[in-house]
Amino acid sequence: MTIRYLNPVQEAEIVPGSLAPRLSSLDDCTVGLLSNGKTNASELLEMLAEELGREFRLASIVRVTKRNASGNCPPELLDDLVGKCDAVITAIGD
Amino acid sequence: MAAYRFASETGEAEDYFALQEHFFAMGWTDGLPIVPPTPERVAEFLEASGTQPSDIIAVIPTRNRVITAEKVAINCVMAGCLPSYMPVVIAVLQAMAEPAYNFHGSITSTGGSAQFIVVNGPIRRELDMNSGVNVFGPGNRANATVGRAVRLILINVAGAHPGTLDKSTQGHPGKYTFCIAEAEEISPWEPLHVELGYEPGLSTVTVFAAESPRGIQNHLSGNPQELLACIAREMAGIGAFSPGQSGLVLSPEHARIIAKSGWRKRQVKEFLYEHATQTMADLKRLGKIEGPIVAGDETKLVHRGLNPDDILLVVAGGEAGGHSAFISSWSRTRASHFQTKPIGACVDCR
Repeated sequence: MTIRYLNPVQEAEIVPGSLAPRLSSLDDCTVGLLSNGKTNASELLEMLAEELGREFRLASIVRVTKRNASGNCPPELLDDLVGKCDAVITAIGD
Repeated sequence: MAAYRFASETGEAEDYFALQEHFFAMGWTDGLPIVPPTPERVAEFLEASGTQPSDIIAVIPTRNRVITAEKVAINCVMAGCLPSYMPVVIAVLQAMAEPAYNFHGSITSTGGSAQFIVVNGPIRRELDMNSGVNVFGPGNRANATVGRAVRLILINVAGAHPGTLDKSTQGHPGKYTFCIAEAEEISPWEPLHVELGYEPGLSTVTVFAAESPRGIQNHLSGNPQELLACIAREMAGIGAFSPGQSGLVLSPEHARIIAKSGWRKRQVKEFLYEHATQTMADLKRLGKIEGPIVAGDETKLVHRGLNPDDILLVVAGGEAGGHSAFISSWSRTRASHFQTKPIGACVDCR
């Protein structure tokens, strides 16, 4: 006996977005390091910053740690990074 | 019955068993067979809950997911619910959608939390829920299917597929279902929802992002101090220790031992908070807190949670037996706080 059913799945609403314009170089740029607060995230980001510093002439580095590793990054932290930085790198650690 | 226009795709299976295999293959189940969500059956659930298919029950901003009444009804049917259970499931989702609950984090974390659901008020009787013998175990339709419906919604609607977005390292069996009613009639204290400020005649759900229950056996203590010291020792267990909240389901026997000496709920929670401690040195020594052990750490006490209000205390279980349960919060920090919602409150209020 044929059974009709309704699909139980809800797909996400796709909100069109675009990537930020790519930087051709990090020379003279301010780079933000956003740690999610997990163990070793900051260490990983610092190692990366050291490598980048060897390859590029970085203007400065801004370091931020998200308070709650399991929650969204507070909008004010993101706004602060966007305001100060040319590029931001984030890491999850653990 | 009203005619509903559904937004969901419809499919057809040649018979019941073909439908089961299709749902398993698509990853739409929790690993167990489901009740076919036919349009007719889904309509009954919408009718019983007074909702329209497009009513928004909850939104998960992180995932850009909108949970509609239609999808809730479909997954409630699949879980084996009766139509009258849908308002309870709706209230659970509304509670989870509160920012302090942390919907997305709690269902995707390696921490593997389940939704521990406590139902209070008259609806427990109306739905013939279990608050007594075997309260955490199988056998009661409402207890089993309300929790199961929530899990199916998290898989199918919130997208938390095990192994894909749900990255639980191990998870636990509560992720199949973890729903109880409080034994309000035999508890010596006010029920949870009254303690939280709701009228006794109102029905509520309280939802707690939780690890698995840890059994506490005590058959000899005859006074509150000794019994609660035993319970506090379990609550201070190093494995689950965190600054997070705690759930405590006291068996009626344990609750009577405590209450017959005149102890009220507040006193119980204050005692437990005071005594559920670890030293800073042990927390560092055993990989719970980062940093070297410094002078003073061996005697510095760290409490589980931040204050006595971090303890969600209910009474449930059979009337015989010195068996209670401690339920730790998910997360090594305080990533989620338990939330309470009235059942049958406004849906899709704008």
